Amino acid sequence: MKRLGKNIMLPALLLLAWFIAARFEIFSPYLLPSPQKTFSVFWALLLDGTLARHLAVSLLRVVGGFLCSCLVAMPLGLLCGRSRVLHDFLEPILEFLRHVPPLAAIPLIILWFGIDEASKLVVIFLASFFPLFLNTYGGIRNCDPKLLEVGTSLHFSAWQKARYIQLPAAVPSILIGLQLALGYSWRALIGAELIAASSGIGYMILDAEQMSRPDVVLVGLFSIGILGGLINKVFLRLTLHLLPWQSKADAKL
Amino acid sequence: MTISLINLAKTYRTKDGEVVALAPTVLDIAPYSFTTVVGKSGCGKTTLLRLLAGLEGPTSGTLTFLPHRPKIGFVFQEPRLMPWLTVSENIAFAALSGKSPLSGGKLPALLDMLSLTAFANAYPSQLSGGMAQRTALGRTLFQNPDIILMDEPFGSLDYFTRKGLQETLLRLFKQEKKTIIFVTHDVEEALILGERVLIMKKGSVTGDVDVNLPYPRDAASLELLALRRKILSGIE
Ligand SMILES: Nc1ncnc2c1ncn2[C@@H]1O[C@H](COP(=O)(O)OP(=O)(O)O)[C@@H](O)[C@H]1O
Ligand SMILES: [Mg+2]
Repeated sequence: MKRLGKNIMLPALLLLAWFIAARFEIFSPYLLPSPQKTFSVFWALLLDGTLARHLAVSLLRVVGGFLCSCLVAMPLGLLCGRSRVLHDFLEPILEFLRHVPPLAAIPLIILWFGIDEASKLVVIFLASFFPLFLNTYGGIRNCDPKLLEVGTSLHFSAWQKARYIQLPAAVPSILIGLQLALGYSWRALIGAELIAASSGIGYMILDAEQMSRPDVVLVGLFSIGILGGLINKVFLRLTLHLLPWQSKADAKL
Repeated sequence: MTISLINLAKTYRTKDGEVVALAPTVLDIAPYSFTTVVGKSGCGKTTLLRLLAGLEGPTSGTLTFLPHRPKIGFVFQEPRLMPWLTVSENIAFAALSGKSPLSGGKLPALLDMLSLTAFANAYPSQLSGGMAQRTALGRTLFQNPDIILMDEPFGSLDYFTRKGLQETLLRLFKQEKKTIIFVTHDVEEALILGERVLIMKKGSVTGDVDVNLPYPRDAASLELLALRRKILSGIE
């Protein structure tokens, strides 16, 4: 209860400041709509389904692109972690791509994949590929050689060592990769929707800006923040479930 | 299961030149014997064990096992448990290779012998040093090895925990037919446990002492103290 109090304090203060600023019209209402106005717009958009529709479209895009990325980046990370040759072969091109922000590639992506769903998936794929790949690869590479030697002393085959020692040892790192990738996907997608889209929460925000509706823009921003937080919560729950040995670590016998 | 070393030697190449970790060594180890190896840090004890286990290849010389290649278990200096597995799962880890099947009763018997039954479902991060090392010993015993190689396994444990584990090990040695080679830097421990004590110095086995005293041994007995003095003068 005390923690909740601390958690809620700063948001409550900011809300109060916002309320006061709007009440005394410190900024023009065209720049800063009041909290009541914003909330009533939020309520209206929620009731008529507009908000849910845009959020669902964005969420589906993230899930789709993210899954595609998982299917490619994680196996590739595992293979590179196991094979020096493959890693050295791919390294130069990956190192180059890693430094190109997906948003910078959007003009080309639109040219190649059009402005429909395909280009959104590609943007998300690019944004989430590297955190997934690098954390999977790193998790495999950083496996304690002393643990691997236990496998050798028990006459494990190379495959058994990979499956029963390296892979489980890499799980915490892979989960961090997934968490980062999810965040990156979201951001890249909103960016892509701001540039070229006819639906999605990013589009809703851009559209509202062009209609001079800062209240709708704010509703969009809050929705993104809240949804991102919720997804992260779900993810942390999942992490605790997958890593019982880490959550139990605090509970000394 | 006789182990024969014929001029077995290991040299490590480092950037500062070559390190002779084990000079050419000739040695026979009898089946079902308990041999301890003592020497100062860096004298090549671990290298000797790793060569015996096949974790390291020799630079020269040969290593033979007669009449046939035995199953060898290794207990490392650190427990090296898999942090994501429980005590039971760590002990039965060898079953994953498919070579040491998880037959009924084997795991409970090991947990019982090592007093780990109450902690069967605990994770390594929840264990004390002694419990972790007992789990590591259980993992090695699970494969039912003919030869057990142990590299200062009790070195980091407190006095009482260490005494308890020494007793467990001697009980195991008496009950089951095992050949044990136990490395330690502690002369007293070497004398409490070993039927034969090998002394190592700068990469060579320089002493070979038989300890014909019945178990359990008293570290304060005159015979043991005399042997201790003799071995210490050999190590210096
Ligand atoms: N992997 C290695 N690379 C280079 N030198 C090593 C390596 N392992 C051991 N040595 C050297 O070999 C010598 C013997 O080491 P070791 O067998 O570990 O001794 P002990 O176990 O008796 O302390 C030491 O001088 C050590 O520095
Ligand atoms: Mg050593």
